[in-house]
Amino acid sequence: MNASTVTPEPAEAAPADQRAALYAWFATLYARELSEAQLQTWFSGAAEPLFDVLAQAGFAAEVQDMQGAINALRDLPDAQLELAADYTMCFLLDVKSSALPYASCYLGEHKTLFGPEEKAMREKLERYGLGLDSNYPEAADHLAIQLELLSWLAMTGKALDEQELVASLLRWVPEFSQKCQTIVTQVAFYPALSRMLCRLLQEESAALTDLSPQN
Amino acid sequence: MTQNSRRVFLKGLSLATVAALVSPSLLLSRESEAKAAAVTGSGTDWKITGSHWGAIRARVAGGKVVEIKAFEFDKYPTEMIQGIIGLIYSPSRIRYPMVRLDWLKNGHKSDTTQRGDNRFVRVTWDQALDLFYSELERVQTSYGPWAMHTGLVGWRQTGQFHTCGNHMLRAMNMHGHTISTAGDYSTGAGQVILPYVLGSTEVYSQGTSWEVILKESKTVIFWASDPVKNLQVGWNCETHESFAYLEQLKNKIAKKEIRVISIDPVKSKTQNYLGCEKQYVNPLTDVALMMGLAHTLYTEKLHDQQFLDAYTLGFEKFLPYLLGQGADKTAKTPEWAEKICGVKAQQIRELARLMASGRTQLIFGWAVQRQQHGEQPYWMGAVLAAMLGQIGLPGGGISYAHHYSSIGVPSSGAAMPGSFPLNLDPGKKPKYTNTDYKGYSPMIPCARAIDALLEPGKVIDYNGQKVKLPPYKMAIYSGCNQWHRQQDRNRMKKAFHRLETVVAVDYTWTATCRFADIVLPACTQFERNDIDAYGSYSGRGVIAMQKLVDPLFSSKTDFEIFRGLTQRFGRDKEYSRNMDEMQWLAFLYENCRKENGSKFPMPPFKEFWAKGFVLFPAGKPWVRHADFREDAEINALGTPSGFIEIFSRKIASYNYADCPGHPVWMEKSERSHGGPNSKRFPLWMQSAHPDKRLHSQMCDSEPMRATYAIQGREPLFMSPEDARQRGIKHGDLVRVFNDRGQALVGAHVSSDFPKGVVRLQEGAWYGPTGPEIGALDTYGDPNTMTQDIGTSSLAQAISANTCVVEVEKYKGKAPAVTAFGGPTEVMPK
Amino acid sequence: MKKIWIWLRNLFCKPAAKIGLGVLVTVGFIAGILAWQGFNAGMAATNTEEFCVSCHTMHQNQEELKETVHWSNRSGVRAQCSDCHVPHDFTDKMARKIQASVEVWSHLTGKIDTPEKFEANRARLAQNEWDRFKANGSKECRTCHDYNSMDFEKMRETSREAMRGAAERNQSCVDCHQGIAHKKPEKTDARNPAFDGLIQAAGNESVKVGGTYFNVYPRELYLDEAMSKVAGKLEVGAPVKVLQEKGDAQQVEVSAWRKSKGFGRVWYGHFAKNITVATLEKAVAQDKQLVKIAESKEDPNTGLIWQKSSATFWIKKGEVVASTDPIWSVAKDSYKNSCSVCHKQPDEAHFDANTWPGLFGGMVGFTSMDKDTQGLVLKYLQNNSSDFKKPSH
Repeated sequence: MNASTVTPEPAEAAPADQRAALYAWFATLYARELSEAQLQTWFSGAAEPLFDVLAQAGFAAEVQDMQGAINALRDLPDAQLELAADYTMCFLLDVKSSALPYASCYLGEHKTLFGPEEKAMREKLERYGLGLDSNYPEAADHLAIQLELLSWLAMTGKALDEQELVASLLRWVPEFSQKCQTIVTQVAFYPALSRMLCRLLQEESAALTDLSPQN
Repeated sequence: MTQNSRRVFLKGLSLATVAALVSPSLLLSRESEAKAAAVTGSGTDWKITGSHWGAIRARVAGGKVVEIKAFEFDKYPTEMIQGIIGLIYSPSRIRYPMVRLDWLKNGHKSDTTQRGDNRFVRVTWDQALDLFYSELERVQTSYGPWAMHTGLVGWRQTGQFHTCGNHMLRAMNMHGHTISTAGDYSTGAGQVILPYVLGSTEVYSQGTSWEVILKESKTVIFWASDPVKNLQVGWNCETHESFAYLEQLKNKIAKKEIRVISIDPVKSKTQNYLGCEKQYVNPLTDVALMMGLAHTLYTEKLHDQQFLDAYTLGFEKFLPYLLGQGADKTAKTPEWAEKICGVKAQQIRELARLMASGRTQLIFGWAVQRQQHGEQPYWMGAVLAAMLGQIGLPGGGISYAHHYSSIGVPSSGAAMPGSFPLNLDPGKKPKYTNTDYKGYSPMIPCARAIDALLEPGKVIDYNGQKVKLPPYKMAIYSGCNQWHRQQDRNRMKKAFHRLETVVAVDYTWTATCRFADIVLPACTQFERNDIDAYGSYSGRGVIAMQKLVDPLFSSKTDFEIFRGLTQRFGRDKEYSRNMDEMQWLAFLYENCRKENGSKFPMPPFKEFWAKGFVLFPAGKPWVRHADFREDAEINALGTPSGFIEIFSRKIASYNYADCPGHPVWMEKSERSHGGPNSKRFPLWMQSAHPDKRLHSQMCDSEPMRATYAIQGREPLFMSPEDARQRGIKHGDLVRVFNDRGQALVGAHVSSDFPKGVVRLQEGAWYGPTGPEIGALDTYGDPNTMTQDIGTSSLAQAISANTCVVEVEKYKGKAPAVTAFGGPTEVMPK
Repeated sequence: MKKIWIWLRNLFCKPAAKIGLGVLVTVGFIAGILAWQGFNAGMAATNTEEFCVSCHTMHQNQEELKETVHWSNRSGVRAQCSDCHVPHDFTDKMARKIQASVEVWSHLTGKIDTPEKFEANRARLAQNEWDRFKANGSKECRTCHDYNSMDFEKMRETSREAMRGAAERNQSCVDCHQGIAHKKPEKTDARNPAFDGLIQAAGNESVKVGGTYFNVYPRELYLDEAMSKVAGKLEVGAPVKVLQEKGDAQQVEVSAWRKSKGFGRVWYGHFAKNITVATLEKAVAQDKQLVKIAESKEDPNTGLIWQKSSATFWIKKGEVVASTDPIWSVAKDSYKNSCSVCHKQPDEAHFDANTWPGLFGGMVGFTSMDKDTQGLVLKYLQNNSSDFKKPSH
């Protein structure tokens, strides 16, 4: 289970490092809109190896949607803007029009920003001695920050904490993902991404339940 | 997933595969010494601040507002202060500067029919302000001042320095001339008619002190006035001192020491609180009832002829109309009135006799002037008061504002702090000095803002002048929810197609922001330092508004936003006078301190700021118009003659059919209870000021809304009888509609409401299902159904209360609420 | 690879970033003390200092003096109590001592025997001294500060013209320079300092008999040249025709309109426009000898009869100007500053002269304008209303 044993630059990373990388990838995509440069990287096929791996791992449908989205964007005159507008529609407007990427908007008595979930995240970060990038003026329960933490937990071998955070995310990511599917977007990129994240977390959680000593 | 390795395992995944696709982490390792405060901010701290809802102390822990309690001085705090946390952390907050995608691509040539349902993109502050500025340049250079509309400010967040309208207007004034507005949405008819009649707006004037009323009045008439509901909020930081007097009034009623009658179709919150008497009247027919009362006073010789002779002009010109010797040959007898207003003739007579039998204080609310011919009830009220002859006597006469901002609490007399200047500094000129309005009026009556877009160049009458409506191309809304206060949403939708560029500055995603092209996130007043008057009229003190938390997300203060804008044309130093927030506060405070001198001693700013407030002693009880009564020559009224004008030659000279020279009863364009259009739409819909919001403010506070919404929708109050007839039960989803619009709302069945009357409180957020004309409003904004017509050629004010509707039980799948963030558990039954 | 990964993720490379919590920065206000740019000629030191402070309730006064340039300056010349407060001329000195005995008496009888009581009487005592300085042309000051020895070119630009004018008129120093040696009493109903500028401008006005001038400050109208019998009040901005000047007094003719209803006490500047120029005592208004009526006509807007009336009165000299411009300029500033606190102030020409009083009266309560400024601003608005001007845009 402890996957953090460092082997000298393997072609195939250790499972925990893989998870760390994958969560970081999600975090990147949820943190901000893709810049023109980032989008060009995608257009240049940089994501293809990852897509191949993900497709083989059982996310073929989501990968297909995301690839389709990238291909569709290639033909659009304002590709970056269109994808940015998709990002905005999905995550940046108010809670009714968007799937807000904050745990507090799904959990707790009142679905406000900066709810108890946000406080819990801050406390958690503090326990790990982690801080937030001050250039990222966001609430700590933002999905991207939670995924960053998940990535860090995987990378630093805090397996139990990692499991705990996966479970915590699963309390609201399914609703979040479902909401994403209802938003009218130009391309299916973000809805597919959210489905993929949700399934990934669910698979992970299911596996862990099976592996747990009680079973 | 593979069977043997259940955990996520990605065959062939190397870190290099992902590396190119990820950005640096958002997390940072933190040095141990920075640990304690930086993330959770473990400290806990009580701060003081003010609001429309009163002064509060707020506990801030971990950089978050966690608890609110009323300031100790406030003995009657409103429950709405508990909505403040929900307002700060509302999931409807605007978090980043946004631009409508199509506008970003095509600028002023964008497809404006998509407004309200268009895609937005996040931009940086620099991008947003650059775009804003380049539009100002474009409009000033390619059209001129007639194309830029800036008179769009409203019930800003409180605070004298950050008052958002001033920031917007100062920045705009530095750039060029613009179209501004006259009047407002609350008292539009009253503030225009009353200067002709009583010589002052009255609606915003200090009134006779409550303690005088309590001592001297034998009878108090609340005419369409609901102070217990409306005194919860104030223009500045509210003190709620009036409630102490209302409590005494309640006790006097219980002991039968005073008679208090509420003339209102609805059993108001005030009536329920006071336990006073109720006089029902048919909606919109108050003038008919007043005529009946006046007729009784005159024919039974209960009127004060001496007062009329000494202090008024034109009674003799009004009399023929009252007695049926005028053109209409109709005597305004109680019997005549009964048919219109639904009050028995005998009751009218008794009411008139009661009023004349002793000291009677008339207290009007603003609702009756927010209707077609809204000038008339106020004018006729003044005529009634003049006939009773008690104007200027303690506990007698007429008031138009005892429900507003603690009017009736004596003024301390102390000077209150000034505000951030909206004007250019002396000697300064705007960047564009062009004042060529191409023949259009540079000012429009505010309620005609949509007419200007739909009927460009139309010449309308307004208060004795002609106004040529300018078809402005760009509008800037600052802390102003135009899509709440203006009437007739579907008409607005059409009009907004004609605007090239709309900029909205706000802290929350109001409908106005949804219909804008550039949306700029201001922070809330709880995220900035400020000072405010404590008690708009009582002048009870000055309150420090200590910042509770830093601006959330990318939001900024209005000061920073517009300083950034003026920086783009090199005038930011002039804009800010090179002072920062705290320097401004010290400046405004010290000026106020200087003005108050030794008469109202104030500590130096630093000391004041630490303590959080300075209070002044109570003022002396006061009687409105007593000086006029004492010496009408020296203390002449501000009317053309200096006297109370029962007949106004000046108004008569305008030759307005809808506002002649003396008050008259006129039928409305539509009216329930047998009036026009009542067969198709039998229910009168009143859009009263809300009980648990301030206009549209705090509608986005989810915890607060949870206390009154029905199935996530705005409640529609209706009578048990109307509900029964339509098969509606309390809590049902219902559709309220007329030819102008439709909304999905929750039925709140209450015996406070008579048959034929429904209430949908104004300020409910607009959330249509789509951009199409006629789309169903999913939350319940009454202005989806109200009509956008002027009160008359005189005031051209709003006529929101002249509105009839029908209501039906909603069947089928209810669309989700799109007005704002809110509960998602709404499911159709 | 993992190292590169970690580097990319940047976890341990960046320094800790502090998450900003609101830091309240209070900025103390430093009151600037305006240096008295005096001309210190030689001053004779006397030895009466201890005497004054021992008997008079004046420790505090002396402490205040010590803060000023009259005590400590680069030339080392110091003014003591008696330099300013005791006339240097023997006769005047004795007269002043007799007057001062009242103050000593006050001290002995406990009227002003504590700092608090002094503070309460400060304004009155200061006024006594100002009156005395006014009467003797600030004689004591001029022992040191002599107009004849002033080199105006060496003065600051902002002071030069004011001083030159004062010298020409041989004006008393304390007319302008008050509160220079002791704390200036806080006036309970302090007038808008902008009026001071107007009064100063009026002082500079060279009035010609027969000309029409405008009053700069609301004040008394008198029936007699001795200015002992009050006839009423002359409003700010009111036009008067100067008939003659005698001593401190000016005889003026006021001609205006009044309503026939009532006693005709209130006089207005224009027919059927409620712009007050004067209010008279009841008996004065009814005095047919004094008040001449030239014509009568009906105001079509109200039906009231208006009478064109005129009368002659006496006023104090030196408080009129030849043009309303400086008066309205002061008013305009007050209007723009005070009335933009809550909303954008309407254009002056947005309403007519008779509508302004009602609107202004309804709103002025929100401002901190004193009564005189209110009157000034209202008259400005009325005189610049739509009756006289087209809207400015």
